[in-house]
Amino acid sequence: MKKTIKILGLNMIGICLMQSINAQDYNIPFNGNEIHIIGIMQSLHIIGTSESEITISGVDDINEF
Amino acid sequence: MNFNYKIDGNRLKVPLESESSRAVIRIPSHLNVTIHPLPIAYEGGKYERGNYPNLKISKVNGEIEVNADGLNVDLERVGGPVSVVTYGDISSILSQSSSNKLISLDTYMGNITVGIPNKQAVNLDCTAIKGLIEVDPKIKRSESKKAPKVILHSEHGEFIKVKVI
Repeated sequence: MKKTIKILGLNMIGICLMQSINAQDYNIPFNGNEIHIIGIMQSLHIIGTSESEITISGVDDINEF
Repeated sequence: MNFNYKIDGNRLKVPLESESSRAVIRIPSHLNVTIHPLPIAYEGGKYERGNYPNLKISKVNGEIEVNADGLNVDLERVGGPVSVVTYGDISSILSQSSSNKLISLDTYMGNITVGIPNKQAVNLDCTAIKGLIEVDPKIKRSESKKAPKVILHSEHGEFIKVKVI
């Protein structure tokens, strides 16, 4: 199965993972395959890591980008 | 930023509380990433450079596809095939690679800046319809099928710059 993250919209950003994932931040118990981030996004940074899970975090520091 | 999430089947919905949110999503680096935002540009609309949201993708080795009309896109240390279509600026620092992958960066209104590793030979194809093309003479060019194919296209942008890093 192709493993793909899909971001569907600007104001409604959906992320589809074609594999089971865990969202660890904020203790989200999730093993699905789609994540939709809903809101107006000024900046989004996608970072590849050696971890097997996905994590989502908000950032207040512009230096993160 | 606080997340008030909701799980709906296989879908996790995460509403953002701020209207100018910045977020980081960390993913396994081998995943492919496809990004198709909703269109925000419209015919006759005014393009204002710098007003677009910023998308940065770092350290992803899977295939990357961005098909947008209103994002500034920054690619850093990406290792797989790349296809970006947008209205905004595109910047990219390529990784050293021996594969014959395709890297296609296409903007309608923006500029393109690409950094290529010193020892990396590339099959480079640049087209700037209204702007200038500036390619560092130290770039190693190759027509070999083993070399990465780098296609850069800017329709109304001011420049395409390719430099050695």
